[in-house]
Amino acid sequence: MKSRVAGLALLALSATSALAAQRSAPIPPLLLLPGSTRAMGLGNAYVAGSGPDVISYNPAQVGESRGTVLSWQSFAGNASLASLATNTSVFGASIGAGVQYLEFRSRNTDGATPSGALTRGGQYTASSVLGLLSASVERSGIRVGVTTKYLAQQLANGRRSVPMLDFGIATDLGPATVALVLQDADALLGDAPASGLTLPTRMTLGGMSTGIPVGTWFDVGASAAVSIDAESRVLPAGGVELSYLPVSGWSFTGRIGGQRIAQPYRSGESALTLGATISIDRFALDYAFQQYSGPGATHRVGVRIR
Amino acid sequence: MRRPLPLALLAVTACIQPLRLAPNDAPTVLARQELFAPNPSVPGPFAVHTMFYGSGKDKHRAEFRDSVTFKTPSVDGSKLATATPERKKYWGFGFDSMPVNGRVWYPEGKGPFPLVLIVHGNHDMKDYSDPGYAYLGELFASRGYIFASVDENFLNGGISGENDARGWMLLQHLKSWKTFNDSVGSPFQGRVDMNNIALMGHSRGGEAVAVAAAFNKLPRYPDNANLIFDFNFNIKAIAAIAPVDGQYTPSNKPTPLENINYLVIHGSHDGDVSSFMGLKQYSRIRYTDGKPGFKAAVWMYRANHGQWNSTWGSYDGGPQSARYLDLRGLLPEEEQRQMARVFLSAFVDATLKGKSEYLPIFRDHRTIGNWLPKTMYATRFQDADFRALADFSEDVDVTTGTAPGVTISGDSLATWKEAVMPLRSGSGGVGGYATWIGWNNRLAGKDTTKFGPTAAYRVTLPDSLRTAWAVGTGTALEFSIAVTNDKPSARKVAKDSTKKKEAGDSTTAKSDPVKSDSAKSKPKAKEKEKEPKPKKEVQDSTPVELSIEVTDAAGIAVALPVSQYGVARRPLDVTVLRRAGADKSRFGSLAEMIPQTFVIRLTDFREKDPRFDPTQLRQIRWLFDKTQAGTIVLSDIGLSNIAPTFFVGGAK
Repeated sequence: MKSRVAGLALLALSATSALAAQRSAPIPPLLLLPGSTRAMGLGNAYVAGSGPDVISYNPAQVGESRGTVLSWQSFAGNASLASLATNTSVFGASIGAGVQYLEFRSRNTDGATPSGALTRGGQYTASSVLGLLSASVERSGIRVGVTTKYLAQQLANGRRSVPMLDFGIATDLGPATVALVLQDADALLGDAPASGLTLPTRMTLGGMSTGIPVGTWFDVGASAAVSIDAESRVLPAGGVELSYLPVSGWSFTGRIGGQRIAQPYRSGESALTLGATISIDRFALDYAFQQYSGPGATHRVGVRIR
Repeated sequence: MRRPLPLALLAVTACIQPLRLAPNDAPTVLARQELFAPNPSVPGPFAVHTMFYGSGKDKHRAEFRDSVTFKTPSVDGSKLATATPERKKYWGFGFDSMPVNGRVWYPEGKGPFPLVLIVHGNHDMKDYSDPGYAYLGELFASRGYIFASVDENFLNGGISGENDARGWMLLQHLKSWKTFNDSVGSPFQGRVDMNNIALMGHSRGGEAVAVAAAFNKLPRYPDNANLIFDFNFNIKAIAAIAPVDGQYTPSNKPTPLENINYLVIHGSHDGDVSSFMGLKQYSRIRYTDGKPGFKAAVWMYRANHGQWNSTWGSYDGGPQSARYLDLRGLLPEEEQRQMARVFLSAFVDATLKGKSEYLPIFRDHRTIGNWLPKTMYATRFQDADFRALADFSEDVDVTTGTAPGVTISGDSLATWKEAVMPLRSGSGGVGGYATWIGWNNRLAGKDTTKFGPTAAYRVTLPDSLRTAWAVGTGTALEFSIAVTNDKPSARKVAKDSTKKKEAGDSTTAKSDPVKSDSAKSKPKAKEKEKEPKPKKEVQDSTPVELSIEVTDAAGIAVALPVSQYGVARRPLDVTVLRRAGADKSRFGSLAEMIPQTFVIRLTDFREKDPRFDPTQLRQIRWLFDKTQAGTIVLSDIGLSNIAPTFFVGGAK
C-alpha cells in the first residue's frame, strides 16, 4: 500500500512541474464544464469516480463500471451541452470513448467566455466539439490510463482545434478509491498556444468512497479532490451523496457538492451544486443543478445504462 | 409530473411484492397433542454453569483469553484450509495454529453427562457467531447435557471450500473433551459421557457435522493422506440446522454416512441457503449394521436461516439484506427457536439418553401439536430397518421396484414417470428419485359428473420377499408424498381402453406432467366443443386426499385414508425476496418440493378388517379416490419392522 501511495506522490511531483505557465489565449468553455451529471452534483470532485463518463476526469477509472451515459445540459436557453460516453473491455484493457458538443453564444469573436457566463449569452454563436478516447489497464491493484482528446471550436473569427492528453492512476485503499490525474495536458508539447487556445491544464488528487451502508436502507458516499492549475492555484472540491435503497435494484440518491471556482475562467458559477439520481436496475436517471450569477442556472440530466 | 414524489413512492410500492403467505393449516394439523411426555423444550432440573476453554491468547475476546478454565493447545489445520494475510492479521494466527475455543454450558452434578457440540456456520467473522446458541446451551445443560458452542469464527467470512476444516475442528474439540474427562484433577474428570456424543451444526456447520462424522471413522484425510486421523469417537447423533451440502466433497464424492442418527431442520423462508440442501445428506445416510437408528428431516414454514442463531437474527444476508429479502413473512425469532428447542432437545434425549418416548415426534410432527409454534411443517422420516420396495433408483423400468421381484403397475393414470426430485434452487436434486403420478378421474365431456374407474398406482410384492423381510404384525408401510400443482385434464373417453381390459387396469403412460397433462394444455377442437368452458384456475390449497389399500394373498383388501397419517399438502409458495417477481426469476418455482412421510402399521389395516393378514401382504395400492385430479410425487416406498417406540404409546 505504501508503494502505491509513493507512486501516486511521485507522479504528482513530476506532473506539477509540467504544468504550463499562464497563457493569455482564452480557455474553451467546454473544457471547464462538468463531464458527468453525477460528478456535477458532487462538486466535480470525480477523479476517483466510476462509470463511462469518468472518461472526462480520469482515464485510469474508465474500466470501473461498464455502460453508456447520455447527458444534456442547458444554460438558461443560451447554451446547451450534449455528451455521450461509453466503455468496454478489449484484451484485458478497458477502453472508453466519448464525445461532447457545446453550443453557446459568446460576447467575443474569439469565444472567450467564462463558463459561468454561458447562461448570459452573447451576440456571437459558437460551438465546440470534444472527442475523447481512453484506455486503461490494471496491474497489481493499480490502474493506469491515458485519454487522448481532440477539441475543435467554431468561433466567429474562425475555427480552432487542439489535441490534449490526460494521464491517470488510481488504486483502491480499503473502501475508498484514490486517484491522481493530469488533465488537459498539452499534447503538442508546448505548441498548443499556436492553436489560439489555452488549455486548463491541472493536476488533481482525489478520493471517493460510495455505497457505505448507514442502517438498513441508506448508503452514503463522499468524494473529494484538490487540483493545482497552471497558475498554481489550489482548487479544492468535494461532495457527499445519500442514497435510499427501498428494494434491491432501486435507489434514490441526493447529493451536494462544493468547489472553489477558478477565476476568471469560471466566474459566475456558484460554488454549490446539487444533484439527484433515480436508479432502477441497469438504468439510472441523473440530474444536477448549479446556480449561475445573472439570469439563470444550469440544469443537467443524464441517462446511464449499465 | 407535478407530483414526482408520490409517483416515485407508487413505483416503489409496486415494485415491492405484497406479502404472500399460504393459509395456515396449523389449527387443524397441530390441533392435538398425542404425545404425553415432558415437553423437551422446558428446562430440566439441573443448575446450569458456564465455562470457557481455549487458547488463552485470543486477540479480540476476553472470554477466550482471560477466562478459560482449560487452556487448549492449538491445532494445525493448514492441510485443510488456507488463511489469507488479512485473516492472519486480524486473528493473530494462521491456520497452522487454529485455537480450540469453546463456550460451555454444563449441569451441576457428578455426571457423566452426554456431550453435545454445536458449531455455527459462515457469517461475518468479526460478528462472533458462537454465543448465538446460548438458548440451546442453557436448555441442554439444565436437562443434563454438557453443551459446548465451538468457536470457528476464524474460518468465517470470505472463505470457501473449508467445510472439511470445520468438521475436522469439531473432532479436535472432542479430543480436548476426552482430555478434560480423562485428566486427573480436571474439573470435568469422569463427568463427560464420551460414549454419548452428538454434534450439531448450522449452515456450513450443518455440513461440517456430517463431515466430522465421516472423518471420525476414517484413518486418513481423504484429500491428503499424509494427514492421519485417529478419532473414533462415539458420535451417536448429528443434527444439521439449515445446512449447506456439497461445499466439501471428500475425494470428490458426496459425504457418505452410515449408521448414525440424523436430524435436519430447515426453514421455508431461508434467505441464505434457499433450498432444503440437507435433504441430500439425508438421502445419503444408510443403515447397514442392523442396529436401531433413524433419520428425520423437518421443514418449517416461515422460518429463515439466521433466527436459529440469536446473533445472526432475521437478516440472512447481512445488515442490509432487508433491501432484497422480504422479512415480513418470518416467524418471530422466539417461535423459530422454540421449534429448535423442541426438536433438538427431543433428538438428543432420544438418541443419547434413550428416551424413546420422543421418537414419534420424528415420524410425525402432528403428535406434538401443543409444543410446536403454530405454523406448517413437513416431516421426512426413515428408520434403520426401512427396506425399499421402490425407491426408483435401481433402473429405468417404471414397472419394476427396487427389491427383487417387486412389480409396479398403474391404473388410469395420466402421468407416470420416474425422475430425480428437484430442489427449487436448481442446485441438483435432493439426492433421491421418485415417481410422478398424475390422475383425473373425470371423463372428458359436458357432463362434469361422469367419472371413470378410480386411478391407482400399485406395488406388488413377491411371496419370497414377505418371508425374507419377515413381514408381519410388526411391519409398517412407509412412503413419502409431495404434491405438485399439476392437474391433468379430464380423461379422454375415446382412448380409454379399460372396457377391453380388467376395469381400471389400462394405464402405463409416461407423460410429462407439465406439458401434456397440465390443465393448461389445449384440448383438441372436437373436445373443445364438448368440454365446458374452463373457469379461471384458482390455486387449490386443500390437501390431496387418497386411500392406501393393502391386499393379502387371500385377496382381502383394506383401505385407509392417508390423511389419517399425515398431510399431503399442496405446494406452499414461498417468496423470500422483497422485489416483485424476483423469486420466480431466481428459482423458477416458488415452492420447494418437500415430501411428507407416511408410516402406516399393517396392524392398522387389520384393525379395520380383522380378516386381513399382514404376514400375507401381497399388494399395496394408492387409490386416487378422494381428490378428483392431481399429481403427487411418491418416493421411498418400503416396509419396516419399525420399533413400536416410534408410535405414541409404543414405548410402554
